Amino acid sequence: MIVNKRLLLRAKHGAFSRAGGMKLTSTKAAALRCGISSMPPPPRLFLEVADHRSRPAALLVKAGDKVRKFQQLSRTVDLSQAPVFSPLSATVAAISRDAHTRRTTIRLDILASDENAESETLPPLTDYGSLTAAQITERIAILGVSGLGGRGMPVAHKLAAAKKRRVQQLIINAVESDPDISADEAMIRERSKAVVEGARILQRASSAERCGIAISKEKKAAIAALRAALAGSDIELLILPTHYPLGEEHRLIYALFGTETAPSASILDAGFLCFNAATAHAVALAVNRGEPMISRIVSVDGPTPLRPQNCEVLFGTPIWHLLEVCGADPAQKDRTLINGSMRGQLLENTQAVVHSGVRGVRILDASELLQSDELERNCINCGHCVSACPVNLQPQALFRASRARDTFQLAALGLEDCIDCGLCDQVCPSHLPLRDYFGAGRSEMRLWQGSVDRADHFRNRFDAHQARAERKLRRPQSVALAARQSDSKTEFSRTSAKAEIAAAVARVKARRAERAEDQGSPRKDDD
Amino acid sequence: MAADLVNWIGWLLSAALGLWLLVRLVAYLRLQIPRQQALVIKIDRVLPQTQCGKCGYPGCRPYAEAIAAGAAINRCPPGGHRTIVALARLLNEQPRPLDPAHGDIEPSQVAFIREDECIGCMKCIRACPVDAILGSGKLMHTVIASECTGCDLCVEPCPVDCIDIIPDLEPAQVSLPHRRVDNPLDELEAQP
Repeated sequence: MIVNKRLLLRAKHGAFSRAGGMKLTSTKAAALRCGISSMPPPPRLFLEVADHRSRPAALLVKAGDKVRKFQQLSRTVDLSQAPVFSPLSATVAAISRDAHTRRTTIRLDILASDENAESETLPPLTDYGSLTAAQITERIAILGVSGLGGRGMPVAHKLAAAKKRRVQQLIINAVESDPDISADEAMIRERSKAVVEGARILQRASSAERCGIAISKEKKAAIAALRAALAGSDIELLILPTHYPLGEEHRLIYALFGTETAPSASILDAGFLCFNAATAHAVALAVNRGEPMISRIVSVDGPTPLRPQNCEVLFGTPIWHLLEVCGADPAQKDRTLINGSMRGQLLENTQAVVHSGVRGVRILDASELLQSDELERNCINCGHCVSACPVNLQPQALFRASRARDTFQLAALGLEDCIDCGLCDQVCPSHLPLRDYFGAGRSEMRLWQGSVDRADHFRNRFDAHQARAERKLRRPQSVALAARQSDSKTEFSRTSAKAEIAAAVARVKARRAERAEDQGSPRKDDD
Repeated sequence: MAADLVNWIGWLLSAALGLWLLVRLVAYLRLQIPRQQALVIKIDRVLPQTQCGKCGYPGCRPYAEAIAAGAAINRCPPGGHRTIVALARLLNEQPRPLDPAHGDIEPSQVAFIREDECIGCMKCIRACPVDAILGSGKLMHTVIASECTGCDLCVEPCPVDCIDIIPDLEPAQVSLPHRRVDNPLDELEAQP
């Protein structure tokens, strides 16, 4: 185990101010006071299966089926999707598909009686060292492990992409820089051995030369646990100062190694691979024990009567069921915030469920709501947002371009490199909802790109149409004559055509007049 | 003798200069053609390719050529504000509102054939610039919605008026966040 001292040195010399971001007041302490609590299983689970980009999701069950714990519910086409597993023994109560969001929801009614009946999955392993990198990746793919850092990308998909390139450094990201999410920290305190085991497995699967676990220095108990678990290992412990948004992988890499990577590009191009610490834990469970991923740890925070804590929650649990178990007041349903106050979103759909991308749930205080309700003023060009932006964009210029819906300006200003950290939104003295404006700007850019793609498609078809017309003009006289003769059998464009069209038009007119009379008579009665 | 030599050198120099200028002029003119072509292609890329002719030119490519030669950029109703802003950016001009002489901004739309009234005359099929209508002589025709540009060129030739232009299902509007007090500057800023 090597502690990287260079990092702290860099911090002393102020290198981190160049990495951008700022120190925020943390509210994690309350939730970390107690350990991870496990939630009693809810009566119903709602599992969501997204469509593959080319075809609808393929389910392995139908309504009315009985499923056992760990039973696979959906089949996948390729590595870009992870299969879904049943978290408990249950009955498939209903299946519904939303064509608009392209998602299928499976409702499971949990059976109380045979809770322990498990479906057979892959056999547990005594030593993953006997497997090759490809075999480990396959095992991870079969057991449906997805990233738990927020985006929910299947781990096997990332590993397969990494296989084509040389990975120099594998980073296990335990930084969790959001000021109000502590799920990873709580997990590392209790399960550091499994996290380190997962890091080793991922290092083997990605053939990375070096591996490091990145964590920020204020997580003292978690660092101590990791130190103990790392004893005698060659995995580095990379300790960072407390700075938001160092948890974002591009910022993390810049802070650790000084390598600039564009947020719109993949870090794989620079030889890095990054997994969340919770993902490493899930990988260890999957590879060693053969357990599919069915749950995650969610940070729950909010005003009393809710008790802030970190809960181990099954996927598919309705978020408001979780909050009620933790003691939340159902009257506050309209102020539920998902994934922290910096990058989070207000929950619009109170039926939403926990999935691999839900790291934290929070109910906003009345005081916080007052602040967000304050009306926005005009931009005064104060430049606070510019100095806060960790990726050196110009939020005030992006704001103007978003307002004017100028996609070209947005692209020129680099909106695609915005990491949506929310710092500009927080520091703005005019209360401009900058994150929302940038969201609208992104949609506008997407729509414009869509219309350009459509136009390209139409142009290709038009060119094909023109080319065909030209070929038709240029064909030899004899062929044209033959075609015209055969045409006259099927088409009525020549001699008899006019009479036939006239007859058809008369027929349609007669039918229309008849229909008008039919519709007309009841209307006359109304008058 | 010396004056003669100077005279000769002068003649030679001016001839060389003239020749060089001529060569440069020819090179410049020859380069102008591909440059103009490249600009036309760039302009054509941001036009919606409906081939509807509402701009007064017989298609998108001819309109692109006309814009490259100096025509107004605000004549494309299917493209709307987005196309005007894109063209303005491309040509370094100020965006202007759409010229009402060429029609109003159209939402995304497609043609729809009322199939029980279709007599199978093939006229709309010949009119469609992107082959989005399927059918054969004396047999019913239908529009392949995903391929239809909504140009409404098929409406006019139909002898029984059985083609409607209906709005497309895809949402094409982004609403900006509304957490603000009403501000007269908004209208000005939102204009392209």
